[in-house]
Amino acid sequence: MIHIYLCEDDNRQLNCWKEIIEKHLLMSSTESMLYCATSKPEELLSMRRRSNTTGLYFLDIDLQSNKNGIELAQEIRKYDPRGYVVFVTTHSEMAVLTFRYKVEAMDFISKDETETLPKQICSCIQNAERNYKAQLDSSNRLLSIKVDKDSLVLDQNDIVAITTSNDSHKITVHTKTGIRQISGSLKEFQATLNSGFCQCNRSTIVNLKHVLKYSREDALLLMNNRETYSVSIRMLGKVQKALNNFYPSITN
Amino acid sequence: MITFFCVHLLPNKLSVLKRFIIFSYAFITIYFFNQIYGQASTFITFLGLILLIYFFTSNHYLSLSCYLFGYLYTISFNYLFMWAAGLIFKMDMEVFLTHHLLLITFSCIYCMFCGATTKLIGYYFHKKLNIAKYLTNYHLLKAIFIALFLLVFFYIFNFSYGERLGYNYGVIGLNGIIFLLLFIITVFLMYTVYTVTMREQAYKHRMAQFENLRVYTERLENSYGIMRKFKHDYMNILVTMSGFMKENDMDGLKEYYGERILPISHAFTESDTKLGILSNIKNTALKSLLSSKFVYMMEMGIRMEIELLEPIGDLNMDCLDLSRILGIFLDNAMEAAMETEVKEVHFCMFYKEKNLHLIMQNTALPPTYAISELRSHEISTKGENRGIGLFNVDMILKNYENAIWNTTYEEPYFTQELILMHND
Repeated sequence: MIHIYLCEDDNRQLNCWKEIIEKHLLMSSTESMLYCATSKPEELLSMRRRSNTTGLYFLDIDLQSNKNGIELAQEIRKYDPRGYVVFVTTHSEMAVLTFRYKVEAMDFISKDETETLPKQICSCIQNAERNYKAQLDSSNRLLSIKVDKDSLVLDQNDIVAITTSNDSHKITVHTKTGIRQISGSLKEFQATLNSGFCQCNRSTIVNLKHVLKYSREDALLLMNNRETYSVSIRMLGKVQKALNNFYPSITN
Repeated sequence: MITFFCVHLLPNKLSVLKRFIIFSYAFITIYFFNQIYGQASTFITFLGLILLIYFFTSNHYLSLSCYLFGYLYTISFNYLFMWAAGLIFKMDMEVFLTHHLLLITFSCIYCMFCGATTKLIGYYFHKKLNIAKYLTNYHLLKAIFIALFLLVFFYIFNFSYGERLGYNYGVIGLNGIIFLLLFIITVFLMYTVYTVTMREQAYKHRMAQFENLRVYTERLENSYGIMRKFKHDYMNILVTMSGFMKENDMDGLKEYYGERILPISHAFTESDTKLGILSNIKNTALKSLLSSKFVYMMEMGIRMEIELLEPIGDLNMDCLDLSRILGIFLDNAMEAAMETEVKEVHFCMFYKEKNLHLIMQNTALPPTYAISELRSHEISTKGENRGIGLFNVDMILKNYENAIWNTTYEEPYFTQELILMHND
């Protein structure tokens, strides 16, 4: 179940959104509800403080108040770090990357296209609900990583390998789509990882799930994101054993 | 022993193993050959060391020059110390050299002094002055290297041949003073060359910045012209609308709105008023770099999205380093975007809890290599420049503990994300 919040300073538009959402909620069999529709950011925040259900927020950017939509979303993140934020804004205020990276907005809707507005709002609600359900199922294998004051949530299954950086205070997480740096040490992370991970040399932990090929002659692991990692002599036996355990059907 | 300390002066740190090799080589050659050939053996040691350093380091001329400088420095101080010791103990050189206990204490003090000072000078050269960054003129480096090499050569030749001819220590001492003077002159010359190069660099940099800002202003004036034109149109539109209203022609008004007014609002966001947003960047050098890159990209037909919603003041990093990194990122983004159909580049900067986030996203073809390999030296997908550029970024960021650098590719966007933490 998700609580839906609206914040838009123009009352006519606010009512328009409200109607669209109420209609959608009636039509679909869902437990989600419209929890708050307001033109004042403060009101939304005080409502938020009283609740502890994950929220879906439709926010305007220019709120004619001391806070704009982005600042409001940041404030919301303090109380509801996993909530879903959607910005509803005019084309000229659109700042896609800022929305996504600064407040991890789920989506954004352009006000200018009035015809598709209802469809876009409804699809946002559906997406949020789907994602919320999926997260309930997978919460046990998520790896929550602290990056300074924010925390970054990664699915352990997506991690291909973790290596030390050339800077001793940072480690690098390799996923299928890229690499990101995180402050911390390999040792700290090893404790939080599940059994699918295995250390293959002094500076690398690999996820066995993503191993494509293991060449015993060169002691190299080829991963499915085209990276290769060497296996140190000390770890040869351990890696072989872990691979055999992980892929019992393949005996080489 | 002396020769080893010069290692401190090299631009890049050597591994322990390499240091050990250099040290043992110097020690062994001096120990063995000195008994056979006398002082002439220094030639063998010296040439061998130069070769070793040549193979161990990457920036040959700079490393060798640094090494030679260190050698000259230590030898000069050797003479100075000997002279001072002679003065203090009122002893002749020859007596002094046969007095074992004194010689050993003297050597120890001397070695400690050289070890400490070379380390300090090395730190000053490479961390404070950052000579590796500015002395990039190849010919100048070569000239410095040759001058230093000849000086050292004559130095060694002088005292080894002098020994063979049977000079007494007085003459050698005199030679020492002459070479000390020569050495001081060289240092002075090098210093002058250094300041001149620095000034030239600063001048060039300022001129480039000036040119960029000129182009930027031109663009702004252009977009101001567009605004003025719109203001004019806008009045016309209002007059027409009031006409429709007077006649109570609702259908006409609707049609007019859909056909004339909506398109204008779209056209506005597409026009090149985008650059005006750069006024949020307070650092002039950065602004000039970004404006020049963005103008160029727009001219190449790339669709730019620039998001700068808040004033950017604190960079949390040296402005020149950041400019270099952004230059590399944007060049790569442009190159990659040009290969795709849509040709899009997004640029975004914002603060999140005082930490500066920079995000560059561009359309790119799916990579045929592992993304982590991009940062290593060897890879270069298209031409030479791309991989090397990112390798340089990695080298710069090594000096910043507060920097986090993420790279991802998610169809069809390639994203570089740089987070510069605020230092409390």
